[in-house]
Amino acid sequence: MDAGNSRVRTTKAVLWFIVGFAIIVGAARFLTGLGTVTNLTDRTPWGLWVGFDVLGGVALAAGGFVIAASVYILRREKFRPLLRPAILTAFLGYAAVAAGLLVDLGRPWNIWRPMFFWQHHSALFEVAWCVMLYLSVLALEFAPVPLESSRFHRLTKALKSASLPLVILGIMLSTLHQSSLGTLFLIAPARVHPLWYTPLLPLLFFISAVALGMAMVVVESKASAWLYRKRPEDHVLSSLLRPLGFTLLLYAGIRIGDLVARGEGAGLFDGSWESALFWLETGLSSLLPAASALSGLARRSGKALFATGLMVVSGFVLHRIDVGGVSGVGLTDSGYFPSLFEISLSLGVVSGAILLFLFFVERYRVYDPEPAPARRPAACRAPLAAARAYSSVFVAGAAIAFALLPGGAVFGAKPLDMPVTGARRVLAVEKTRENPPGKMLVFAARGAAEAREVLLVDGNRSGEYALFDHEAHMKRQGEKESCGICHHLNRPNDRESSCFECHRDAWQPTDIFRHGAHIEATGGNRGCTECHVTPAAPKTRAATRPCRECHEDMVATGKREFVAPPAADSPFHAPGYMDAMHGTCRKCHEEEDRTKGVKVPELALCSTCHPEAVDLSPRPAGRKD
Amino acid sequence: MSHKGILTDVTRCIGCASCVTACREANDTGSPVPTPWQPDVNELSATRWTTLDRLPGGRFVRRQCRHCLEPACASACPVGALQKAPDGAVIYDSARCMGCRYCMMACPFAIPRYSWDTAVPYVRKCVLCHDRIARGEATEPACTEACPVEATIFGDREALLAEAKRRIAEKPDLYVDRVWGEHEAGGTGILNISDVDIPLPATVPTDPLPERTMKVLRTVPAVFVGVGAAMVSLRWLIGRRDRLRAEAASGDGHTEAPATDEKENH
Amino acid sequence: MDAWLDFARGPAFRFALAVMVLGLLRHFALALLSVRAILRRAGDKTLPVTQIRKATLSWLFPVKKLGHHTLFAAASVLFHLGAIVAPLLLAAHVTLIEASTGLAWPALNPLAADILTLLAIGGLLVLFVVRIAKRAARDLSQRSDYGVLLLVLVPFVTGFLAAHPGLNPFPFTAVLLLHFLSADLLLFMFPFTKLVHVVLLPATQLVSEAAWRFDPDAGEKVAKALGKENQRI
Repeated sequence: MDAGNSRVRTTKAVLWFIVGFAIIVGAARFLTGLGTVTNLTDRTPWGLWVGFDVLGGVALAAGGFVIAASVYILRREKFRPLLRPAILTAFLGYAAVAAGLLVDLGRPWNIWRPMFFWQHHSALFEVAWCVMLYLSVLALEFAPVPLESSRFHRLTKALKSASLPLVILGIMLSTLHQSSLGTLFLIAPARVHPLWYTPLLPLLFFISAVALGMAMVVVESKASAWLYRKRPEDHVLSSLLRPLGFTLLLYAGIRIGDLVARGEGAGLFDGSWESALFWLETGLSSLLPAASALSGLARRSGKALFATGLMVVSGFVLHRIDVGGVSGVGLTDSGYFPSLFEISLSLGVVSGAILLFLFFVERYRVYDPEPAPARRPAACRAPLAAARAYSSVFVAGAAIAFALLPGGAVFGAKPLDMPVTGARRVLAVEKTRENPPGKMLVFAARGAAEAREVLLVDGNRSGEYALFDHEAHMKRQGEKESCGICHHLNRPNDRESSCFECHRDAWQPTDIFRHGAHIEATGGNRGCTECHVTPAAPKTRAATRPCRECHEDMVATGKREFVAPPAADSPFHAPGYMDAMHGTCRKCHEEEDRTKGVKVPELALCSTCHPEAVDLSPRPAGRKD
Repeated sequence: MSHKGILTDVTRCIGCASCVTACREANDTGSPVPTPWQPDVNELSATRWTTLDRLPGGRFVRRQCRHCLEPACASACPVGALQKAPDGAVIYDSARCMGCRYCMMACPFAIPRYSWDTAVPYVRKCVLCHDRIARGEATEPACTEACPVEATIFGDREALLAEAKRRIAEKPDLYVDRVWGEHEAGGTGILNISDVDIPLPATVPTDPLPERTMKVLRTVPAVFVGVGAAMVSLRWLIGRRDRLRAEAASGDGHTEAPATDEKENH
Repeated sequence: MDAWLDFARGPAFRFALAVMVLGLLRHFALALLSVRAILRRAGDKTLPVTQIRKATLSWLFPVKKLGHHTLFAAASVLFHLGAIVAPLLLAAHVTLIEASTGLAWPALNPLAADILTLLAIGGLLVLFVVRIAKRAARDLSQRSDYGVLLLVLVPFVTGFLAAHPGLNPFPFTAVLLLHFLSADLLLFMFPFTKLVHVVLLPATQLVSEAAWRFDPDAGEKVAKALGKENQRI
């Protein structure tokens, strides 16, 4: 094969770029977890990586067993030229599935465990075994190709003579796990839309895999013919059209007939996006290509042949993605759409597989050699030219990925930033509590003598709040030093201070220190030393003058809060929302419930019903009675 | 060993969320923070294994793993990391888990949660404080122990079911005549009674889900052998047909060796 | 402006860093590959390890060269000292890295950092002057050689100004942004300019040592290949 033509070079450059991008994404996923690079959530535990990489990958690799069956079982010798590329595609397809699976599994180091912990009731257990065995079978089936040009003649011969039993074993395993991938979803009616969920899923998966196998051979054969500028094997490929067409008709018949028989037929025309998706998928995968294959359209033109194959391939891959998660998006109300990084990693796995395919094609006799064309002598190229070119696009891809990754994927996930409604001033009084010993704030009755202003911190937590004595925090910390601890941009990259550094259950930024305004107010660059006493030192809190040295009149007014955290073991911590609620509301609820049989509807609204201070008895340590 | 369970009486719950706090402390789950994959800190998450749902009319109902009699998650797990313990709890062995999240797909109640933000993730859900009870640290789960009004109680499922029915019979005007969890998904260890309807996910079936998979998996050995046999005989049949045709074509008994047999080893 | 600062020290910095690290690794790997290719063709297959080590060391610590071009060599050494040590051990940089990655190492005290930075800037200026002043150097210089000097100069100057706002006549934030962006550009350009010598120094020695050793009869072979066997050279 001529690896030097421009199509091959451009294609490989693009593939290496994607691989470079994907490798960085994969590294981030392994360092910081699945959530930081994917859009997967508890509502959508399976996404593109399962739908495309695993389900789609296995189905795309079906060409191996379909062509092997045609040649060895049905004895159609004219398909023999397609056998080696089909087996290679299948082998690399399954290798890609394994790679995709390693990325998608949360704990991939345990991937070997199905071998030792047998769970015969799990569909995934069966799939795991079949894929494992079939990958080995495919490796043995393909091994003669690289081996035949090596020194291991006897091994090669032995493997070649074992090909018939291997092929039959491969067909048996493929039949099982192609259908078992459908079985996977029988247990998940909650996650698969009724237009896709059917007890016949295993059967549909198998039939579509057979059709997809044939179509994939067409696509792969046409694509490599284009790439290497050789004559496509259209006459051989065309004889796949009739069986392909009938398989597609069978599939479409069962698919739609089953829906009608189960009474889901109405869902086909209800105008929902799922119904549109269904028609797109079914039209693309079976209806259109079946028409094209059986009407002879695809037979007449090479382009139509390729388009037919491509439609089947993309339609059925879409089917796998739909079953694997997309169709359930509406059911679980999760709004899942794969992230850029999920997509790029999937593409990266595929690109890697294609690069390996091209490697084998160029190095070994995968395709039958063409009658040697009068080739121009290869242009004299600089040594390592290919390595130089591909490694530079690889670096470019990796660098762009590293730049685009979200901060969480590089430095670890952080709590989500959420908008905060501003704190507002309310009147409160202080009460003593016994356990933990300390004081608590409660809303003051109207006109209560000792009432004072505190802040009601609401966050965005749907009317749930905590009372916050700003002034007391400030006093407790020792006035002068206090401000910077919670509120200042005094570390590199600080954007605002966070309550949560002291109070672990509050995540929101409070007000921010406006550095720019201070620069202006102190007279530009000359003013730096007003606060940063030794300007060459890093601008940390320790090296900076406390605010109160200038702002002597700072008080808690609800706009300019300056507080400090208590010592770690201080009993005077401000209660978080939960503690506040448990401490303040429980007793009343209990009493109301016991004495009047009345239920107080909204916990957060205690204060509106009871403006007077409530009794703050501690939570009972254990159960009474 | 009898099947343990929890009965929660919605009419008694005051919504104090003591059960939630007790669960967090007993299992050391860490505090829930809003994340891209779970912005609502009051929803179930890897750091919150039980939660309270608001029902209309100021009622509250607990949501947690229901410890199904025939758990879909445990049957789906390809490595047995999730298992049904003899006391009825569906328990999790993180050492075996390979993080495939098939359990999360299988659960009809959408309960299991995942730690999405770590390189070493876990599947998280209520385990009925199985380990703490087995080690003798507790006699009942932290949540039921913490409940100040005995709205949620722990015991043998049979006894709890009887108690639930007794309460309903005692105050038929108050309660809805239904024990949630008696039949759903083949029956669950967690039972609820209530004076208002408790909405469960629409897709919760009454039949146990593992059976749907087993129906297919039982045929696997037969299909495997059948396909193998079919392939061998099909090859033989077609070979024979080709040979007969070749004989007929060559007219008088000089048979040509069928081309196919020769070529297959190349 | 804050958005620009965040871009310059966020995605842009990460991009530049990745290009620098991976690009330099790429150069290094390619150099090793070409060494392998050269050795395969060479008559003498042994690696001239001693010579390479000597040559590399004499370039790393150019003590001997101080004798010949004293000003040039001294400026070069001082520049390299400042340029490598100051950015890596500057207290502000260490704090920044610690805040984002948790990794920390001891930092220089501010005065030492200032001196090193000024050494780097001064050294660079001397190198610049020498390049212009010496005829031989000027003739050998391309435009890119001056460009590289400028590329290195800007981050050091802006960094120094940012650390000493009292001496800084320009708006603080603008200087800071320029510092970030120029540093990003510097990192980014490492694999594409002469700066690549940070990884290629030993490898270059190896290639040149290995490539310039011929078989004893190499000359004959060339002559034979050219078909001029018996002619005078």
